[in-house]
Amino acid sequence: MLSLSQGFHRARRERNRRPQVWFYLVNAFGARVYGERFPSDQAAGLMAAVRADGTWLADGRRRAGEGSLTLLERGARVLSYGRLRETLTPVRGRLGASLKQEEPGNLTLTLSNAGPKQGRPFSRLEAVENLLGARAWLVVGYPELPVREWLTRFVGRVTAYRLDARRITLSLRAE
Amino acid sequence: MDTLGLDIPLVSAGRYERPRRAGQWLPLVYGAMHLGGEGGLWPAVCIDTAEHVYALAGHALLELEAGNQVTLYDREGEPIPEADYTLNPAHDYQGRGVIATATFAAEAKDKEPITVRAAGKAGATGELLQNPLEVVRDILVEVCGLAPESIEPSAYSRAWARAQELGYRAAGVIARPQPAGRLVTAVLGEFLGSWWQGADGRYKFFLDLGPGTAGEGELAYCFREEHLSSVTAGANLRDLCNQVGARYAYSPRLKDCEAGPEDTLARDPASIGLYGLRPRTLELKWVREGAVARRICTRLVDLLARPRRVITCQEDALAGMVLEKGDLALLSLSWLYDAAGQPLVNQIVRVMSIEPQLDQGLVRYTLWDTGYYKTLAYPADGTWPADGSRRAGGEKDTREY
Repeated sequence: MLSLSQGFHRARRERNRRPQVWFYLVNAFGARVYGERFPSDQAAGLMAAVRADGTWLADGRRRAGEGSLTLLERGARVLSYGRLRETLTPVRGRLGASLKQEEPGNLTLTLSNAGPKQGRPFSRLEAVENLLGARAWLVVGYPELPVREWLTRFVGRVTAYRLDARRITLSLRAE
Repeated sequence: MDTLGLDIPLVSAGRYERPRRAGQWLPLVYGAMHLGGEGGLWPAVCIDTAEHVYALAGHALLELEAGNQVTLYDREGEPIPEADYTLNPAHDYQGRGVIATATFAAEAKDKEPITVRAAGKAGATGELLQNPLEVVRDILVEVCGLAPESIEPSAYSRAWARAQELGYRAAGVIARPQPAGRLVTAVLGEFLGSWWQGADGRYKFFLDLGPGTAGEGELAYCFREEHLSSVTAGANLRDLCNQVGARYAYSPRLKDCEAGPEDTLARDPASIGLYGLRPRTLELKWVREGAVARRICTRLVDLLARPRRVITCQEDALAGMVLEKGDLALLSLSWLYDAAGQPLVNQIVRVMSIEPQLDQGLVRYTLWDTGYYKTLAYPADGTWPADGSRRAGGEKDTREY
């Protein structure tokens, strides 16, 4: 079972509350964060940073901005989180065999490639940066919780992609 | 007739009068089988127990005067003194076709199995056949009896020249019958080549696409964006490799490779940094030289260290019916970019598959992005000033076709 903070546990027990889900994509060029809605400053790692807001003493023990993410992009680009598959049951074959074989989790995720004709974000990323092999995180959380208490539900790498003019479908494999 | 589906016809010892074992096959030997590894590589076949004659190959070997170093080894793996036998690399023994033989002065049964190390078959000019395309052609035409005109000459010449340019040399032994098509695939595959039967029924050979290997005339078609629909581009991490080593110098006697892979290792550190280590080890049964194995590893890393897109699309016209598998074509797409971040213009793609749907009047294609684009060359004939505004060659051709 995944471990949760008390705050997360309290939040998830409240009725009619859906957690927010963010998708982080990190390659050799930097990090990007996407969601179904525009990611908040907090989701983008901007709120978690050490801010000069009076909380901290300027005694040299902390650096302003420490803990923040350097983002290349954040946006409401997730069209579908697809389905996360983590199973002991093999896709094919006997159940007994599944206990002896590797069956890594995998996730297929669809993001919007919308943009000006010569500035589609994933067309550019695919051509110029390393999309294959990029690391990906699927993070679930509630706005009132600090980012460190959010649940990392999936960590993997991009093993394949399919791109068209409007969208990109990423195949991710857990690691 | 499906010639390439049939087994390669080998000569058996049974066609001679007094063989030791009538069922033994006389091998076909190609290339510099005297290089690499140690000891004998394939067994000599006793075809006359009374005269102590052993067949070294089911065809003539390269002449001794042309530098063929033939060595025979006894059952202990020790070289047999040359004084014990007489070599005849082109011997029409018992009038049943020219083969290569060694005739021992005395009974040599106690030395069996006698194994051989020598250069293989020579071509019509008397030189050793070792260009992989020459080897394949010889197997198909001279051994399997395929009509020479069944091989598409321009594709063959281009692939042959490419193999020469890259210094590819094939060497191997065919010791038992096997389907010719499978063998051709195995030989060409080791040199990153492929073959297929064209719509005209002729066989086409292809070696990897490198800069400058595709001429203007080979670009068979131009895909226009406005005629395309359902276009997707994809790539898969499992197709990528950025560290390649090869085991080579295969010994049919030991049934294993005797050299590599450390001395052949090729890497692309930038790709490893970006995509993680994607290693691959090749087993090159038709390569005996370290330099050739290294070249193949380097070419493979050059080709596959970066993701190669596979593009699927549908053309709402039958104009592309002229294309066939393996053809090169141009593709321009405004929403897909090249490595410089510019829209894809006149990118060279190879047709991997083509599915015409004649009743609907459309064709589905799978295209492989070669990573190269059509270039313009400006001859240094005084027409253009050398002011840096143009490059003599290699400038991207952005014209619309």
